[in-house]
Amino acid sequence: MSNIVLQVENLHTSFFTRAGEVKAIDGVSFYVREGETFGIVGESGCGKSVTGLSILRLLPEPAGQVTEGKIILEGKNLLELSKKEMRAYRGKMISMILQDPMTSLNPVYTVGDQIAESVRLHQDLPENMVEAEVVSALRLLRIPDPEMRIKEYPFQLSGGMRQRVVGAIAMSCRPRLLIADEPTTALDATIQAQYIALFEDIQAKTNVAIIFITHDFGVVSRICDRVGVMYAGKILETAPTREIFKAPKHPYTAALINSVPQLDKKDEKLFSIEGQPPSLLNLPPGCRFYPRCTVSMDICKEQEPPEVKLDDNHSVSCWRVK
Amino acid sequence: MTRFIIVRILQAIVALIGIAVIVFFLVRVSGDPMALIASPNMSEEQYQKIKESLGLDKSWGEQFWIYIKDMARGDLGESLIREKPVTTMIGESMPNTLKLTVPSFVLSMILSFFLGVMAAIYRDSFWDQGVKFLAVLGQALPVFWVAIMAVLIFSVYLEWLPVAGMSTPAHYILPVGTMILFMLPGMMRLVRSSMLDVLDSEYIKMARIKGLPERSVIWKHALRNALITPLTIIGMLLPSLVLGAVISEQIFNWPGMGTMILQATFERDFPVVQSITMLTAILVLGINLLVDILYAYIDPQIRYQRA
Repeated sequence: MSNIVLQVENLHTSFFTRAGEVKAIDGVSFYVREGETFGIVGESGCGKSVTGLSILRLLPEPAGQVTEGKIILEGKNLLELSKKEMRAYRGKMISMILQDPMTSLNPVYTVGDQIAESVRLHQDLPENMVEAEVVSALRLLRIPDPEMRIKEYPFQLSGGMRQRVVGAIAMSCRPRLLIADEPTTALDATIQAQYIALFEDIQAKTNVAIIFITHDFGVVSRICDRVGVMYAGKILETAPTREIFKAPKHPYTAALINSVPQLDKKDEKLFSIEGQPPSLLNLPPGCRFYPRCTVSMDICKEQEPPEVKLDDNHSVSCWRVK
Repeated sequence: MTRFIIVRILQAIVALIGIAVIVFFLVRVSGDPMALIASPNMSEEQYQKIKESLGLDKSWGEQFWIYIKDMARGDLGESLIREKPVTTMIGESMPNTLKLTVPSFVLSMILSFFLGVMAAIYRDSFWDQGVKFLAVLGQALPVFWVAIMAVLIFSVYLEWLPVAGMSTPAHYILPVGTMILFMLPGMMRLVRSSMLDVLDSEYIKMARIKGLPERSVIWKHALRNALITPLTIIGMLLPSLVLGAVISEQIFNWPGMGTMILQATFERDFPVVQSITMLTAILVLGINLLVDILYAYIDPQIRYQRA
């Protein structure tokens, strides 16, 4: 087994609003190994993106705060670093790709400038080597004619190409951990497939650990080695991707997988989970999925289910699983 | 880009011709200057002679033709009242106006950008509230009234600053302050809201993800994008600079072009009014062109559209 790059332990993140404390992440633990892709799947608002931002310590301050837990990157707890030390980690050790390629590049600087900025910041290179490094980052993302592209502005590129440039910025300093926050959601289906193939390629070349945040189980099946299913600020089930598709243990996981449209089943109504996720402002006691669960029991209403380890890689929080 | 500039200069010339026509006929509609020049005990003969010497006996069409011909040669005519060439009068008053407007303009831009950006960065802080309060106050109070009150307080009661004139640096404080009050509030609010929009964007998040220090995030990534909207407004702000100069010069008895055009308007001194208006128009059009060029420099998308 290869080394663990990132270990998140019992992470709690809250937003302190006028209405009260919103517990966006309520005790999340997971790890990612070198060269592995860990997927975080869930509905919008479940805390997927906040998890990513918590790791980078880029929560919107002062409202967003990590209140408890550890985020350990290669032996260092990121939460104990000073602001300056944390900055040195960003872009160099950890990087992130955001969802919308149309808005995540600065419109007034060239592609080359925006990549070179990261290179200059984190790598002690003589100025005449910077451009070569920028070109190599573009090559890594399989961007055609990189020497030409560096002089272009974002508005001259297509959406798919822009997302590759974002990837090139993220990978320019060969980080140990890449957080991809719905990187394919805004892309066309065909471009999406290419982009996912690109991820596999990059990972094979650089051995980077990837956290892949998505709401799409279809994408998960294609890229993730292991998955954490997140619901209302908590990971309800963690398992290897194949296992979770074959035999989901948590009713929520099963329902999510069921809602992926299947091409081979004709004339069937699309499956959907009834109801809405609970308000994170004051969570009811008991299991947070209880109100929407079709197989709930009495105990689910009163007590939160503990995490049960089925084996080294598979854990579930559900009273039905013993 | 060269083509764009040439087109814009041609457009400016058309606009200037239009302005010349409008101003020329508008001042003449305001009344006959002979009514002010003539005295009751003047003979009919004398009256006609003066009218002829001033060229006022000719039809408006003829007068317009002469005016355009002279202007093309750089001759702005002679004041009807002061019997001095208008160019000489402008030569005397323009430096004074520039001494007032240039520092006011530069200072208000620096201040509004600095205060606006700070208010956006420290949103909802005490600082931001202060800036908002200042902006609302500045926009709600009539500037001429504030200027008069300032004279009353600082010059009359406290005797800290001179009432009028322009001989020492202390003389500049109140007039320049008045003009800043004219331009600062609107600009400051615009910079603030433009900066807030940009700070909320994904590419600013990306800049932070790269590990850039906050200083580069704000002044390199955010400000250049936040400049685009306020820059367009600078062009539109120039008329209020002119208006500010007129008011400010009047209150502080500043011997500049603002005072001159006001007097000339009351005295129906056609050549003076026409010349200053044309000069102001050229200035406004020129700076607008400059703003457009700057605009293309800041925003590559515009640069490419115009290429």
